[in-house]
Amino acid sequence: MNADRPRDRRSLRARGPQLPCPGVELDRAWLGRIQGLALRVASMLERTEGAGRPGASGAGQEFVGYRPYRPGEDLRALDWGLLARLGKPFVRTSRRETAEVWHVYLDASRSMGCGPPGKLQAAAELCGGLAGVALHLGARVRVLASGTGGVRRFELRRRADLTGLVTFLGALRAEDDGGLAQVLGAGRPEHAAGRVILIGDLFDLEPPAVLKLMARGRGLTLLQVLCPDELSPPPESSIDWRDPEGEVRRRVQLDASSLAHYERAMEDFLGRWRGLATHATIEHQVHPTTRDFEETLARSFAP
Amino acid sequence: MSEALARLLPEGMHWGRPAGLLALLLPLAVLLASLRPALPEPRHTGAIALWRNVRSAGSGGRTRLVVPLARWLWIVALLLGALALAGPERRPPAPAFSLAVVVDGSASMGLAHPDGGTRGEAALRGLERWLESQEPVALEGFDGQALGDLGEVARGTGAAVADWAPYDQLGVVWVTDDGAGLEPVFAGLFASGGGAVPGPVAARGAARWWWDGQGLEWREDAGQGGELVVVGKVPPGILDLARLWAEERDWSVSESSLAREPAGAGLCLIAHPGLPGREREVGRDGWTARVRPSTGAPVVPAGAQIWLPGLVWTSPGRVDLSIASIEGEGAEAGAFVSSWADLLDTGVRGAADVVALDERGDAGEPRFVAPRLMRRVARGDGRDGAGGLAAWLAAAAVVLGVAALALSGFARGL
Repeated sequence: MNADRPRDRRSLRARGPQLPCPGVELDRAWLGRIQGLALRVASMLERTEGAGRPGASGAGQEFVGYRPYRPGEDLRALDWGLLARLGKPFVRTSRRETAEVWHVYLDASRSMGCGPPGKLQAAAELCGGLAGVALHLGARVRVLASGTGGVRRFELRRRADLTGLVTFLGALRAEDDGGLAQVLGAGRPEHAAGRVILIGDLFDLEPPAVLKLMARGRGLTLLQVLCPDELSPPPESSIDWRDPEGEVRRRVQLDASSLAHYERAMEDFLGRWRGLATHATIEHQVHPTTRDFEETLARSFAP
Repeated sequence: MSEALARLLPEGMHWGRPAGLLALLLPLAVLLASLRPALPEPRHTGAIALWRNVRSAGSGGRTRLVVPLARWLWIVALLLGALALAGPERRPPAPAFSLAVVVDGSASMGLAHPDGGTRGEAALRGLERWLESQEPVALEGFDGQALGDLGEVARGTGAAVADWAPYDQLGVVWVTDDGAGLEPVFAGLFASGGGAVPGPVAARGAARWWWDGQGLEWREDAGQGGELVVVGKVPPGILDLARLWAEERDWSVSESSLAREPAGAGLCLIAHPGLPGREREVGRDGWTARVRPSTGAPVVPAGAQIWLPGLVWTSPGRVDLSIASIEGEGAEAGAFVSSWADLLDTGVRGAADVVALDERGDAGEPRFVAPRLMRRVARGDGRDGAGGLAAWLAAAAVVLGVAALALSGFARGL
């Protein structure tokens, strides 16, 4: 468990103007939403099982659901009936298999302080939702978040640890420059990590760095969190865009021409990540901060 | 600025509170602020790199400034409010009371007064002082025509009032110099009074009969001599008669191409040019003659005294002829000469310094009888209507302000 590092507000002020959404606010109601999401995902997986081949899990293995097929896996684990019905490859998961470790990498760099709604807040909610589902499926969760003083870690083994996660996430501030690159640079995920989830805006990450996380039998998920100003800039007359992580400024007169230029640039940017995901069989989702985390995660676990 | 803005108002209106026009600066400031390019709003984005190569039409060219409808409504509401504040209203209402001024036009009113100026001016000063203590009063002539001020009244030259009785009415004031014997029942009276003023009482050429306060004495060269100015081609018979008439008075005779004021006492005899018309017979005072009129002669001016219709008319200081030729007057020569001499006497302008003896006498003490003002018939000065205009402007401003507020809220709701 990782200690909450006190915030250094003086250093924040020294670094420039306050970001609009630098922190995270979570409460007990949010814990209830996590629980609801976990039950919903489990129910979804059980319904899929009921429609498929219940005996495929084999003796001594408790069937818990399906997950997408990963390249390099034993084809014997593939559910051919589900493939024929849905046209997508899924493998059955057992309690033994889910007793793995999920690594959740969280971007807490200054760019995550953009919003509203805040990107760091949305990322924290996604992280908590993932942890809730993982614990419900019997997996352990290791959360690694970037930070000024180094990568911060928090591990969950049981549902009771979710309360600690609330504290951990609530202490996060969008205040470092490292982001996901810092987390990835801190070391490769342990071999037992069956699933690695990256949550951030991915602006500071290059696709090759992500590919290094690929391993046999490991699922990789990219949850790209973007705020409305980034997905669809407001039709204001003029905006002075500022880089949260530097001194770069870009004063833009917003009109049809400039907005079309930006939309093309954003489409290219997202297209690169989609291309990578398709090529390397990585799950990739864009999560607008205006969307509930349950919706994105339900899509992620849907067969 | 208020004068310039006053021209925007319909005739007869003015700003009741001109200082309120300063409030026009408010909508002006809002308009200028709306037209000023807005400072770009600072925002943070992680996608700053994506903006790097973005070109915007506004970055290199002119920025199209759009003022929202709600802002326009605000500006118009403020404009109307400012105008309402300035209080557009009709001219101050006409005075509720009127006073008809009847001024004695006798020559004695022009004599010097011991308090300065003339007797007429002294009498009007008394009236003016009295008016200052009254409510606003509309001064009128006895015919009901409006008079601007007493200065205008003083400039007016009228004939001597022979009989004051017809003017003894409520709402009338008499202005004269000698109030002795005047006992108005209904009218007011301002008489300047004034002592006797010695001076010339009659003239013959440059000589004067001089009254020294007690008796008359003959003084040669005591004034300016008389002059007859002949203008145009006066028919010979009339011209000869006029020369004799002037010689008999020791007047000089001069010819001129233009009608001009004769020096001192004098007369201008003007023959209007024109082609000879059809001969006809005319006559008066016992004589007849065949006359060819001058065609194309000017129209007889209003106020002139017609002596022979269409042919001869006179006014103070001049006799006008529209006669090309005259013949046959010999049969009644005496009547003819006497008649024309009377005509010339009628037209003579007396010497400026000569005032009749009875006019120069003592006018006694000043007299004052306060006039009773007449309440004027209300003519609907429109003050209520003008107040209504300000109220309408204010109401329109409020309605537009509420609409702008609602529109702003609606836009924010979107």
